[in-house]
Amino acid sequence: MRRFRRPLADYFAYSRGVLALAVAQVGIGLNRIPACAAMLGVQAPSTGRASTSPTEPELCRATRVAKRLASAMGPKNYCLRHSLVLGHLLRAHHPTLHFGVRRQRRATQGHAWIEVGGLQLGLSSSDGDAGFIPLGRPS
Amino acid sequence: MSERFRVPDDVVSEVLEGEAVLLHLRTGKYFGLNPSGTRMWALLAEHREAEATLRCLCAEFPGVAPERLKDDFVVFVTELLSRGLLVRSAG
Repeated sequence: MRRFRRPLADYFAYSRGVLALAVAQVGIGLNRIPACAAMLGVQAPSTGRASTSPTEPELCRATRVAKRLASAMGPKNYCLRHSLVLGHLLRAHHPTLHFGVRRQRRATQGHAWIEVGGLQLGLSSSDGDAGFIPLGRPS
Repeated sequence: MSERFRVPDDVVSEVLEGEAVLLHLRTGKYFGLNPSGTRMWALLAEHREAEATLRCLCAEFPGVAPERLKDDFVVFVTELLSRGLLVRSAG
């Protein structure tokens, strides 16, 4: 009997991730980011639906798959693609898509990340993604 | 009658070192405002009305001629409207 090198759940995650990546690419290309995010099960910050914490294996798998798939498409819009794929893989936990900005060497940089169960995913200082201030609705 | 405006739902912003950064979520495009634009943006978001915003601007910048302020404000609003960062609202 053939043995799988990866857990079966990984294969499901990759196939779902590929579909999410395709939707994300089309959504970004057609300038329909909010609609695309909603389609993938990722909510906007103002939606305010409470998210739940993913389990450790779920989180590791989703992070691994999203990182690999998003990086396969090159550096342009990486964080947004990564966030949309990651958010889709964790959609059962109602993740929120955040956009933020920071100033670095007099230049303004934009970034996207996911928040789920109190965790900020894609905003780690080890990846050089620290110091972003989330954008919100003007008060 | 004074025109009314509102910031569309798909526009988010934040002030960074005194200058506002706007993001149009639909297009994924970022826009930066200078300090004067940032103040106009904040007042517009607060009052949502051209006349009230202009009154506040005139009070905040007494050294600038009201006509000059009005001209700059009209240019600013026109630019925001053309980029979908602001929309006219009824009532």
